[in-house]
Amino acid sequence: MLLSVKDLCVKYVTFEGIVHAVNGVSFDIPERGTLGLVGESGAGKTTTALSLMRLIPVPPGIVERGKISFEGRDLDALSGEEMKKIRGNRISMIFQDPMTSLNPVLTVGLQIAETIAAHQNMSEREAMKKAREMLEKVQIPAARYKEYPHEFSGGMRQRVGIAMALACNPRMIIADEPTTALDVTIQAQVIELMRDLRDEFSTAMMLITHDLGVVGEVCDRVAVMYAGEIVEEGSLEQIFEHARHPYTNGLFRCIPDIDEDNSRIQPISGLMPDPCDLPAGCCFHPRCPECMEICRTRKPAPFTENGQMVRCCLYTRGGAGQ
Amino acid sequence: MPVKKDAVKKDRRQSQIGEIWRRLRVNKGAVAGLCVILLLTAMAVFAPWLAPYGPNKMNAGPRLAASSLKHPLGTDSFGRDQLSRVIYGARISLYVGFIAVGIGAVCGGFIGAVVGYYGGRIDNILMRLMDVLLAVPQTILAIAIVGALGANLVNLMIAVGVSQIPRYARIVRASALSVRGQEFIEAARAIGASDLRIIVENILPNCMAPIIVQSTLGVASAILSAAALSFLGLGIQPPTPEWGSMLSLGRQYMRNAPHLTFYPGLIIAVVVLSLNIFGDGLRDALDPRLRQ
Amino acid sequence: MNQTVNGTVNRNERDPLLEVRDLVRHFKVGTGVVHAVDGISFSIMEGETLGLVGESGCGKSTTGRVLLRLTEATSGSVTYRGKNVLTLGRAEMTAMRREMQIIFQDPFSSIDPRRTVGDTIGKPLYIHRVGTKQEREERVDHLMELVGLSPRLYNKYPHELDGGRRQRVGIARALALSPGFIVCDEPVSALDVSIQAQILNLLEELQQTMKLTYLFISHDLSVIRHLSDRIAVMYLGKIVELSPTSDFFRNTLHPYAQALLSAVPVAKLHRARERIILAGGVPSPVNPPSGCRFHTRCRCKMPICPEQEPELLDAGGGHAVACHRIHTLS
Repeated sequence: MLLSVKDLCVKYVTFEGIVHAVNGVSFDIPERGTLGLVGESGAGKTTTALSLMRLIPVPPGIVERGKISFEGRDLDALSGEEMKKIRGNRISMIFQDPMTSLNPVLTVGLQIAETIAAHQNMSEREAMKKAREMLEKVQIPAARYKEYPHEFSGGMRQRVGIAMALACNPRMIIADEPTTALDVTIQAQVIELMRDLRDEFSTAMMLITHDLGVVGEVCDRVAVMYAGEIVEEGSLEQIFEHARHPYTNGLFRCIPDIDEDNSRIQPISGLMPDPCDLPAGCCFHPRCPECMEICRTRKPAPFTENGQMVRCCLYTRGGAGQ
Repeated sequence: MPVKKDAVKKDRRQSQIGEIWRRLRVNKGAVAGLCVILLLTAMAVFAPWLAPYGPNKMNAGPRLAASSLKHPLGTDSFGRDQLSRVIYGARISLYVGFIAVGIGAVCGGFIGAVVGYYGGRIDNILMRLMDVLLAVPQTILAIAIVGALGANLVNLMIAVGVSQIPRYARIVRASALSVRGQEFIEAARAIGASDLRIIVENILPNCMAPIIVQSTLGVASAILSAAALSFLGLGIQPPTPEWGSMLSLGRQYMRNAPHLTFYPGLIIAVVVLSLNIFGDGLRDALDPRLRQ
Repeated sequence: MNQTVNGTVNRNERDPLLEVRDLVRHFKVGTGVVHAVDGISFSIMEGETLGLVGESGCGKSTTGRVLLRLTEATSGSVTYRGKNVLTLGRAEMTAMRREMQIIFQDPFSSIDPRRTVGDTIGKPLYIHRVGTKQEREERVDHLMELVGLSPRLYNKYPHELDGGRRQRVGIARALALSPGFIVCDEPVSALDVSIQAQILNLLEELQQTMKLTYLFISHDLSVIRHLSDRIAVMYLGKIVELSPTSDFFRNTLHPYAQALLSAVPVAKLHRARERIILAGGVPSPVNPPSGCRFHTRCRCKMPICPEQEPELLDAGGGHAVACHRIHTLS
């Protein structure tokens, strides 16, 4: 496995109380694999990503437990210096807002070159040359390397972000809502580009998004997060066509069908639980249409079948349900 | 069920001021600041009963005497009792400070909110006017106003207040500009609120924080500018006791009789400090977002 | 010259509730003039939902705001029940606001953070002097119940509510004066999927119970298909296609609309479709391309396209399109 996360728990200490952001998340990403991490706001997707990069702000954050190994090395055991060598070089990140993730006072060429120079033994000139190559790779004319971020449109800036992330030929890319801020047609361009480059550079990818449509375009495995837990994980086909967890099914029923005239949507009732005060038992039980007595008290253990993991009492009790 | 509904209704009648007070009470510093200010105000009101001597009674004791049992804060160069003068001085100084800041904050705040909301030409004209006012040194501006209107207490307050307007106008304009861009201003227009209503009910409340901070600092500078004007003979005429003029009078005797500058200076500092702490607390209490 | 085409969904042969003619809104900026809305015409029937789709900067939000005069039109007319909204005097416009309302996109900035929920919802009633204080309070209670807000929230401040509940407050505020027409400006795009579905259902319910007419502005075609009776696609300040919804999805005509539809990521596997990836970004609305504004990115470009602007013409069955290839499109 390229990346393996075991039982990750992260919390934040705030004035309102302790926010349990990530509660026992485990997943693996193989070489060249693409995992989509799906969930609504507050599900703990971004916290999970940041803890992979060891970028959780401490305080208020506390990484309670969890083992993250990347390329066979335990990331927790690395020193800050060693971690810096991995960040941006072996694992890099693409952010949601391309406007704020670039430095407005430096030219884009210089920003890409800086990343390269920081990690690879290259002269400034070579780095600059590589930066121009990277721009061409993301379909931006290399002549524009002298321009500043504000001279680019949103989609172009996101391409620059992708060029920067790929500059050091990383083994893995974490993309946090990379297309959420973009228009549909631009989103399509960026998704296409990300897919092509992922194949060309044979990078693994973790795509964080709330949009199941984007997941369907890019990923081969999907993990659905709810209230800091992965409630279901499986291959794209398993999740999209044979979802088991009531929350996953609920999510699909919330999306109006673009192929039908009078599609019906069935919202999930209720609200996300307060992360300071998670419900007992299964976190989803207050909103679950199939809630049973046992769900209120017992936390469901993961149940795996054919590589599809689900955390739901419907399945752990002798496969009843559905 | 009806019981519950009644409870909700009753709850809703609690006044806004009561709500703000409840939030303010939590902040111990703010309450302490408020107490000090109230005490000083009471001191000003009850000055005749509190002061051991008349404020202008000359030769009540030896000249330039240090603190003693008879004169706890010593005496000045005319042998007047310092304590009595400080107590009486609160009347003029607090009055001038608060009213002048009131004039500055209300006019400046309103101008700032108006130009921030409308923008365009009104903004240009009024803000250039404010720039002109800012370009003239405050004291000279105040001198000009008092000179034109005549030297008395009311004109002094107007002069100090007007000279403070540009500061408030500037800071309120800056926050009004950012508030104007928010969708709730458009929402207010969509439900038919007039511009005046939007400025008073939506823009100004959301610009409260900088106004309050600036006001609490402004009281001190208003007291001091009033003192400077009095010193120049425009405004409060001696021998009327007033902290600022006591301060400037004592300056000549700083070496021999430091208490002449120390006590008036101390009390001005106390006023400013308590206003500041109270102002911070009030700002937080007025902002529902900061409530626990 | 008349480039308007009314949809055939003119169901009961009624007059349109709202009629927009040659609406133009230009903004002056430092470098020139932004052609935000550049001569659009459409009409909305009573009880209908018109979906307005487009990407950011196409002028869809500006259109909604011009209808309510939150920003003044440069030229054109907006007729609501026979009255030209754009020429109304101050008092008449204030009265007109009881009829026409708007729901905003961002539930975080569309509600004054310093006012309580009850205050926000009751404000329109107060401004229009509806009833006594007691009656207004009762009306607010009723509205809160209608949009699914617990009465306990009456004295809460917006920051104490989540996005979905805030959006409900915004909806209640828009409904307070019992309007006939509501502009929904991306009301669900800032919300999470599960909350989005709740709000969509609420909007649908309200439309039926209160006989509302919607102009539903969105960039999300699946939401638009779910809610709208007719659909208008905007590109750079122009309507390029206007059609009954089912027709539009069955037979998309304009090359831009086709690309837009094909670009939507859909949460389904094995969905046969041709993917059209447009090159480049949307040109600047300060200097829109000559002729057909889409010609710079169009895959069916012809020599005439940069020369002459196509009119929005009926291609049959109330399905109108602004493209020179109109005769060969279907």
